[in-house]
Amino acid sequence: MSITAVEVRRPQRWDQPFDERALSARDVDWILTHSPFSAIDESDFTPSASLRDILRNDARIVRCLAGDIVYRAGDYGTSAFFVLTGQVRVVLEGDKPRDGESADERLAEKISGSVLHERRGFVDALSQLWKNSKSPEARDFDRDAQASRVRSKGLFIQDVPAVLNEMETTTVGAGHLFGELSALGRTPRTTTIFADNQCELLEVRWQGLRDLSRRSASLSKTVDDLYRKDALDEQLQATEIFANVNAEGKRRLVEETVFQNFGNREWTATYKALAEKGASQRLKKEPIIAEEGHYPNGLILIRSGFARVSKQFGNGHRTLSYLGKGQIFGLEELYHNWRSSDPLPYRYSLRTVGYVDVLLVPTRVIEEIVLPNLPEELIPDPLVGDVRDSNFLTSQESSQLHTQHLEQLVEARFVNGTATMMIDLERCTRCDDCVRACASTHDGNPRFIRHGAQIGKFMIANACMHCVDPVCMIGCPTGAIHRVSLGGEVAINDPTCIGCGTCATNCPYENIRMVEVRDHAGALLRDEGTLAPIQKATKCDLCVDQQVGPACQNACPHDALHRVDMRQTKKLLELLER
Amino acid sequence: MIPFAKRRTINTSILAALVLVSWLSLSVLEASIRATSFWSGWVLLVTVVSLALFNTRKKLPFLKLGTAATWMQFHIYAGLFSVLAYLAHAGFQLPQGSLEFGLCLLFALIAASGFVGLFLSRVIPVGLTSRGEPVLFERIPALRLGLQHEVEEIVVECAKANQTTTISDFHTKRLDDFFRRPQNVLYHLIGWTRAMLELEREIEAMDRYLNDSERDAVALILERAHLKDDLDYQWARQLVLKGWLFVHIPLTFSLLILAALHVFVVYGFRGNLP
Repeated sequence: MSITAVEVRRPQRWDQPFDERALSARDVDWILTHSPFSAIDESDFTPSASLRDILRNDARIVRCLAGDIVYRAGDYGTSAFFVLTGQVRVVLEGDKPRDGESADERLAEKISGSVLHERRGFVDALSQLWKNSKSPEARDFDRDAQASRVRSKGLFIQDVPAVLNEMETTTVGAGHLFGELSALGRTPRTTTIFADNQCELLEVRWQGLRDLSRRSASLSKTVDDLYRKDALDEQLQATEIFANVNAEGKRRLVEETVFQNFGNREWTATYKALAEKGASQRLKKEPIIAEEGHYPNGLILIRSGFARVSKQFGNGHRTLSYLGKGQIFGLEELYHNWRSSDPLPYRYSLRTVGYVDVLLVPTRVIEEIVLPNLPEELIPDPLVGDVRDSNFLTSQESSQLHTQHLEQLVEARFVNGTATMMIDLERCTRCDDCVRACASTHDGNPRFIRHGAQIGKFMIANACMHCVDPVCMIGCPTGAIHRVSLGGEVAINDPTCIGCGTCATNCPYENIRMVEVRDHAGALLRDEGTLAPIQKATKCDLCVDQQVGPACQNACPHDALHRVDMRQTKKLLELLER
Repeated sequence: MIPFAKRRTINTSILAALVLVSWLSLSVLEASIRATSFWSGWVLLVTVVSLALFNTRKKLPFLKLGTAATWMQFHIYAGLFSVLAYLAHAGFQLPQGSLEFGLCLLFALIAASGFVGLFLSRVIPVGLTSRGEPVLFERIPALRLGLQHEVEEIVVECAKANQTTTISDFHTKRLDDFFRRPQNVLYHLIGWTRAMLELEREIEAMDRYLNDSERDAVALILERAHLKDDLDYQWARQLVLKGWLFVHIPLTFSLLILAALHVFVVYGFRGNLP
């Protein structure tokens, strides 16, 4: 292999603008005449990231005709939209149900066009056999050749009047913002939005939205207020136990529900040091959301992050399960107390794992509005046995994951993964077929290391887990690391990556590696100015562009390697007990 | 996710059914006075070719060809079936001709290496998991070198500090070779710990000639000797796990070539057999 080097210009933040081309000065002038940008003071911005530069590079103008879909519920997106002219319609989970179909299912019938998700065709896939580069981490520095494989386009609603007739919708007009919940929370879109008439939208990628909010106090307040309101609405809509609550009840719920957050947003910086401490010390560092033996003052809904459900056992706490986004805590106790004259305290403790956003619905509101309307299938089983005894475990609890596994999975935060690579070491023959398959599907470069923490007989390998909350995305200056719009896999757009290493530093699991890149002849690429090697962030992309999903899992002949969604505890249990 | 025990039961049942159907078919052909060896020969050839295709599947992880785990299950049970098909084809006796004898020998070696490989791939990983840190085979030489250098440093420092050569002499005579290359490979494969116990005894026997500072150095060396022994254990067993395929796969390609020749000869000298 050649050890010579080639000088190239180091990639910069705005080398790859959000749109194919950066917006023109005229476009930016025009945007600045529209609300809310007309109210922003340009002098609040720094010369290195001016308001005009942010708009030029981190935004694009989307022009829609009536019926054009802006985005659909369930899509992943990392951008928010400002309505510049015209208006859009938001499809609500309607008050006009039809045979149990959701609004999204009904809407799907009326959508034409297609989502183009570029997976390789047969010949393209097969050509990897001879086209893969002989040099490690080889890159085409011809930017046009590096275009992203994943695009979407061309969705529209054929019969807008029918949608308006059959579904409950609301409008969002000029000057307003939408889509911020998904952009800032790294979560799927919660509603479908389509153009109500001919309209012009400004789509801003979240890095731009972050910088705009940071510099403009008024915009920051607008974004924050909207984020909190939409987050609350979305959570209450999505929680099954509120399904039978009427509109007035929902209004009261929104009014009385309290936003709370626990722990430290920067948990990724401290958790490794914490992991080395004793169990009791670790437990002390986990802020208590609800404590065993205390009066249940409300129903707790997890909005984001993870919480540990534990029970006092001897001088420590035994982990019984973990709760993630959308799960609730305390319903059994609240229901028991509502029906019985012998009130019970919380039977378990709920503790923060890292950082958790919760909604607390006060007991009074739950008893007045929710419990009388609780859907029958959600009524908790009566609590039997001596539930005050600290050693009492219900049958549900005793069938939970093996405590030791659970403790380790929670403490190492592996529960964050939706595609965690778990290798059964008692079946793995160390043949490395998984590594070779990964390399074959990534231009000769494996995107994981068959090495990592061991939990029982399972290894949690150093492969991207495609987290529920991908903290690696926080701070990426260019948006190179992003969620793929359809499946939500976390991927890196190589041409946009400037090699700053923020994602690799943020990843608490050390699953992102910075590599020095070469040209196809094997020569190292160096910055023409500083002569420092050009680096790129690399990680598992779950083979989003391949025909067959994760090649590593498919290539394991001994059924040892599995990509596990840790939210599906039943499947996890099946794997652990297989 | 199907539990392994259930999967074994299903696959064994399918194999049993297939064997029964094949045996009935052969019986019918025999009763109709047809040359059953042609039928059993083609079944055997198709089975062997499909077994060999597993290696091709591994080279094409980017195509929709089914999971390697499914192929592996097919490989195991079709392998078992092929042994029965071979016995039926050869008439449960050793062949006479040199080509056929060569084929028989190759087939036996491949089948035997396959069964041994299957056994090893089920047994060895359990041992690897229960002893030492999980370690990549390719990294073992680097880790071994690190331990070797650490021990050399301890020995040199100890000799300088105490102005004695007890430990350094022992290192030259016994430890240098131990840390320099993989040791006791056979012992590790069998699972015996005798060789390491012997080294421990030799180190303990030195104790009466050491002062406290030297004893501390010996404790550090012993700790590294155990780590080295764990590395040797991992190296020996991972080597075998990788190595058996170097017997199984080349022999398979030889078998395919000889089988093609066999088919050519058989049809060349078939005559008027029905």
